[in-house]
Amino acid sequence: MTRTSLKKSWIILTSACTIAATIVLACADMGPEYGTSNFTPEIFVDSAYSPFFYSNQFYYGIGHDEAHITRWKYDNIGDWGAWLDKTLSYETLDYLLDTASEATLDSAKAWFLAKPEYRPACLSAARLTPKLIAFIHYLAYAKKCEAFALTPIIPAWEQDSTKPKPHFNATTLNRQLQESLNTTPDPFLQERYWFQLLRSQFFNGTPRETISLFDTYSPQFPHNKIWYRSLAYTAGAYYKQKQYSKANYYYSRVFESCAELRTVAHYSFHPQEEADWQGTLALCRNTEEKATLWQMLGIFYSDPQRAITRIYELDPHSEKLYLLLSRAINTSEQRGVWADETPGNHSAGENNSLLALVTRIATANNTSKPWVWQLAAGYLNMLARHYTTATGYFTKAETTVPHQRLPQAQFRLLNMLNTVYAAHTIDYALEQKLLPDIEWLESCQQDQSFRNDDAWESVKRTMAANYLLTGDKVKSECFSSRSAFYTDNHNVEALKAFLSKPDKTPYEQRCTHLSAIQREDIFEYQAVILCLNDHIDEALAAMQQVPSAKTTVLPGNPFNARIVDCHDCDHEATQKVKYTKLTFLQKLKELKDKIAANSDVYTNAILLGNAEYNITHFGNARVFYECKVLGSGHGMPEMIDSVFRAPLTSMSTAIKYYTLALNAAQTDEQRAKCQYLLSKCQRNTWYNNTIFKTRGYEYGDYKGPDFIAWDGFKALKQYPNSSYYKEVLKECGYFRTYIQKNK
Amino acid sequence: MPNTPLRLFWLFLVLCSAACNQRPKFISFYYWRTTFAPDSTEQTTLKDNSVATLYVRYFDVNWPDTSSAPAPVAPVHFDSIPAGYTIIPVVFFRNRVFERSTPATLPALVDKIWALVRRINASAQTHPKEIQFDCDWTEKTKDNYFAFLRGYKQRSGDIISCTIRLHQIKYPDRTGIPPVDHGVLMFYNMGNIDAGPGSSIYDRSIAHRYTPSLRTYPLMLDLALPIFAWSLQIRDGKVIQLLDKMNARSFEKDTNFISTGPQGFSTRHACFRGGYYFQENDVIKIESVSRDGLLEIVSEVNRHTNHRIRDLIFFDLDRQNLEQYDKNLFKEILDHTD
Repeated sequence: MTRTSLKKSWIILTSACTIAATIVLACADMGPEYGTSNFTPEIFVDSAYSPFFYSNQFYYGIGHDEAHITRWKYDNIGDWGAWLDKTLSYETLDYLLDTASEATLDSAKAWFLAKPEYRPACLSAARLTPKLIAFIHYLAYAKKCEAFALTPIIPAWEQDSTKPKPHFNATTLNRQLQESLNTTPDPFLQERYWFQLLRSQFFNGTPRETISLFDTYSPQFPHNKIWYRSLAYTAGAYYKQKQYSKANYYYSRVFESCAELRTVAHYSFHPQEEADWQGTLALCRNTEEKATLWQMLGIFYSDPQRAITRIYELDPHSEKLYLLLSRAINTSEQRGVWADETPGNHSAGENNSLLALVTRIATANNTSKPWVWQLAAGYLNMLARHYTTATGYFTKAETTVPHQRLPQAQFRLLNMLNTVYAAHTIDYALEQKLLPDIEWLESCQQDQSFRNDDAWESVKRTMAANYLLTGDKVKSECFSSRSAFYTDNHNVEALKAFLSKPDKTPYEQRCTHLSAIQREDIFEYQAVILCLNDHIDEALAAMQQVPSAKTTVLPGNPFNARIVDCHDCDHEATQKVKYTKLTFLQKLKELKDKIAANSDVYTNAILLGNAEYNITHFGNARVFYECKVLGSGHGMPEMIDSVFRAPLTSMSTAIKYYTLALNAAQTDEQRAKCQYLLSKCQRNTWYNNTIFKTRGYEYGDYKGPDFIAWDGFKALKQYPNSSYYKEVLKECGYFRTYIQKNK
Repeated sequence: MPNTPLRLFWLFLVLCSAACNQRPKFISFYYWRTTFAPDSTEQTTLKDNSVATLYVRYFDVNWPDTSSAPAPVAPVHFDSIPAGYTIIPVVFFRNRVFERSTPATLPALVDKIWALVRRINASAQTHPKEIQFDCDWTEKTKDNYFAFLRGYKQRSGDIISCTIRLHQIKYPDRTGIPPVDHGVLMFYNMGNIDAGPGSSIYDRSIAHRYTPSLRTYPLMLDLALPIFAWSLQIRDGKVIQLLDKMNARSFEKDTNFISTGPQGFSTRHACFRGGYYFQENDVIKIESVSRDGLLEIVSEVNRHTNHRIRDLIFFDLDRQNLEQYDKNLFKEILDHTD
């Protein structure tokens, strides 16, 4: 029975009122639904209004209102359990209300007529009391109502809007409900029969009958949830009659007094013309009701400033101001203020008027929570770069913010942000002042009870930017890492020295702790770059400082070369020797030493060439260069940070060793191999200079030729009788095409 | 891309075929509301213009962000049976459907759409042998969209037409020629929806850039013409929403608005109007195409199509749209068509 009302009522109320709902969807990977924010409504707004907090979803916290089936489940079980004097268990009530069929109830009625054999199993432990009999009789009617009040969820492609709405002949049912309403002495049952009859009239009768039922009976029942559900249907009936003023007035009363139906009222509240709106305002019996209407306008039609202004005029102490204030500020926060790390870089218009409004109210100091307005005024002034004014409001707030954790946290966060943004430089005194706040804010990063993650990122970026202004690149790097920093070895060595420094001050210790790049990361980065530049001894020395270099295994044999590169094949191939980053460098040193000793130069140079090829982006050992500074997971060259793309895609060291091998080659077979391996390097260089340098080609939009006649191809053509030539001809389509066109 | 002699030969065949098969041209309308229930004005317009064919939007197909599959949106409900008219179903696709589809998922999409169209046909007691698909496909989605069109043709055996935007006419080598029996040239929605001075519905200067390409387009075309109006609600220089069915008359007698020119209003006082809420200083930009604009479109099309336009389809049949024009305009436009 609990399911009867909500789903259908929601659908009917909305469709009857031709409410067009804009479904706002957001991707799951777009961060929190409140966007970028440092202002937490949960701290000062009644949580019963949380679906209406600012969100990039339709409703904050719940996405969409999908509670139509379950919305009244617990209320119904609780209400009936109490009325039945707890004679039925929770489970039994749940079963009867939610699951039991009409047949079960029919059996129960037979049992009541002294036919014990019909007693349903679910009532085997129940005492036969007048209340139980009355409950079952009521429930039997309620189940019948499901035929029109319960709409099953149908898969999208199965929904058939073409079928006419099934007609339900409610004449008998309505008569029975009316009789029960008339004859039942119990007010609890009376109210429920009234609700069932009113709802049946809404779905099956005329709006006039629905309204008449409400007007006749509503004064005699308490204003509980059943009463407001009836009011909501009556509002829908007025909507059907196009009496929008009355309908919206009733919806506003539902919104104000029945938290469970606020989303329903939201969907259905819809003034058509200004006269409707003015008519609704005129129906209000008191200031509180008017304030509710303005609150609804401010939320539903995105005009919180007008709503705040009107409500403040009506009653400065109104609690309805705070949801609107949170929405106004949370909306303003999305306008790029935080996106580009420059405070105050937002469009003026609305923010200026919001600033003026909030400042006026904060200054008047006549609301129920002056501290909220002081924080808001301080925050908005900070966003407008009025840091001194902001400080004034935060100073006032210091004495008014309640001594509770979350209000204090909100105050501390905004005050800290103002301090950081107000500073255009950083000196020792400011460092000391900020150190406790920095430690606190970092410690809050797992705390979801107030919004602080954007602030943390923004503080770090701003501190880094300010340090750059002072010329302190090392501390800047500690707060926010930049790839460009590592292109200058002086920077790298300075950071290494700072991180290695003994006897650091507490602030320096915090900087070291914050630095994304630690000492071993720097050594690893230096080792990779040194190796790519063929400084093997120095690379080995640096890599020995990296603990993980001893355990990070290269997935393929880095000394192999294929005619057609195939990283997966190399990674799957059986390897007698597995190389770690460190043993790989040790092997390189061994090969270089052999070349220096003039020992089998051709073979060792080929191996070195292959190794240098494979540790670039094109090779099978990208793992070698993957580290914190250089990044990892580069599926294509465009994914490599632009400042590192050249060293990681350069073929110069591989070419150096293949050329050395070519010069040392003794046979045409060896020469053919060298020329082909060189052609691969020439191909990659051609890719670097044509496709990968052009923005927009990363999506495969390059329309030029796939290959050209590289020097390696031309030279390889001289060795047609070598078996290597024949293998290349067989495996490499580019070369085959080249030969066919250049016979 | 075919070589030039082949293209010329193809064009010759098309032109010859068109010239040899001159048939009377007809007026028809799109019906784009979700409930099929034409009112008296709309029905009178149909009768006065001897309309025999109605293009009825059956449903949209979208691929919601939160879903793993495409889904139909707002299938039409026939409140009245369209007796006396040939109904041609129209299905509108969001382009994202084909961005996310794969060749493997297209057969299921064909089946689902075919089944839903049949179900709607049955409810309307109509048995169309033709269907029209509406999608602003792009270079990236053409393969999937065209595969869908072929699949649907194979599944249903129906005559298939599809809408074709001006950019698809101009760049057929990029966006391809859809595998359909004929096309419908959509001569509207050609500009950006923005606060600038131009119109998003019809902009002569934009149209001029594209219409010469009509000459070489190899499909027979119907011509879809805009008779709808809408307004843009603009706040802080940004369009915040489209105001459907709102035209100048909606605002000119309301003292909460002040006219800022022939096609614009400014909100003097925050208020509700037509179910929409306006903040103070919101700007309203009215967009519609005048009688002269419609005749101008036909002249422009005539100049470049060599009698290859078949029928005229007006978008869309709605009392508020019809009331903007003289009732004889539709015939006047038809007479103006080569």
